[in-house]
Amino acid sequence: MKMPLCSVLALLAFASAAHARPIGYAGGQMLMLDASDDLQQLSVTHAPSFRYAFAAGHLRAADLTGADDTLSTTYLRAAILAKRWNLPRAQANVFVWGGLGSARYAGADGSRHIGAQVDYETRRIYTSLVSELHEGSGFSYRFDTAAVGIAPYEHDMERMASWIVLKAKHTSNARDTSLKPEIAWRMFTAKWWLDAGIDADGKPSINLMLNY
Amino acid sequence: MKSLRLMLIFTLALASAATHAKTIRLEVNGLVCAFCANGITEAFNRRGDVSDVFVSLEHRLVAITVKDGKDIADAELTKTLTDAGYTVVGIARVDTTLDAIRAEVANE
Repeated sequence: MKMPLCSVLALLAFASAAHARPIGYAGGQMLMLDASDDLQQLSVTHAPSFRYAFAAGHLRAADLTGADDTLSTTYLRAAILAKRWNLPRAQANVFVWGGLGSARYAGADGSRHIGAQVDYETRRIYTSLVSELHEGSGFSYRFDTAAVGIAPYEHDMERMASWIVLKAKHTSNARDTSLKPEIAWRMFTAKWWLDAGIDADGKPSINLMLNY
Repeated sequence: MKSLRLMLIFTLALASAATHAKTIRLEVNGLVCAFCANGITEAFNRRGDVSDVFVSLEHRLVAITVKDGKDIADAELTKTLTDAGYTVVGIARVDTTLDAIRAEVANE
């Protein structure tokens, strides 16, 4: 039986694993769509400052809890840039995030989560580590993702960027623990961002973001 | 007569400055991603005193044209870039136009 939940900390951190950064540019909005076999999500983010952002969205995730049901949650999230290093030809960041929302799925009555991301990138190399923990009555979910991206050429503002991104995703929940490699083709300009990926089981996924 | 000539030159110089837009070049650290650096263009466009913005990741360059030949103080320029999430390491006012800078970058 599905039941409504209140005071559910947002589970949108799944999305954070999919895209590069949880905060857009200061004063801007970002529309984001995630779609894969296990996860579908749509969210809107507003960043009053480059240091923090707020997001609202809806997420559906299959078999997340270990029960044969689909998690469905609507959430509000806050993300903070804890530290940034601007180097002559590189940038590094530390982000943390969390949120509140409501959710529906079988057999649970609350949840909480914590997440963090560390990344370093140049115009040719991208690396990131993302770690998230979600817990609640009836479920526990954690994943850690390491990503390495390589660009065959250096993009600029007027030229589309093209990257190959390799990810190793470690997942543990009530049902099992797994380690899966993924590969994605990342393309972006100043206005849009698209990751088109496929995991080791051959399941495709996309992550689309629009700046406006 | 000499003072009249000097006054005329000074007046012409002022008139010239008023009709030519001022171009400012900023050297910036952290420019690695077009999707993120778009915020710089938006930040300067939100100002009422900037008519054009050019960003080059390759040259670590942000160049702007200031309206009506006016100037923007270094502290304000630095704040605009800092609030966009980047670090300014150099500021220069140049005689060339923004289109000339675009052409120079494109031809390299």
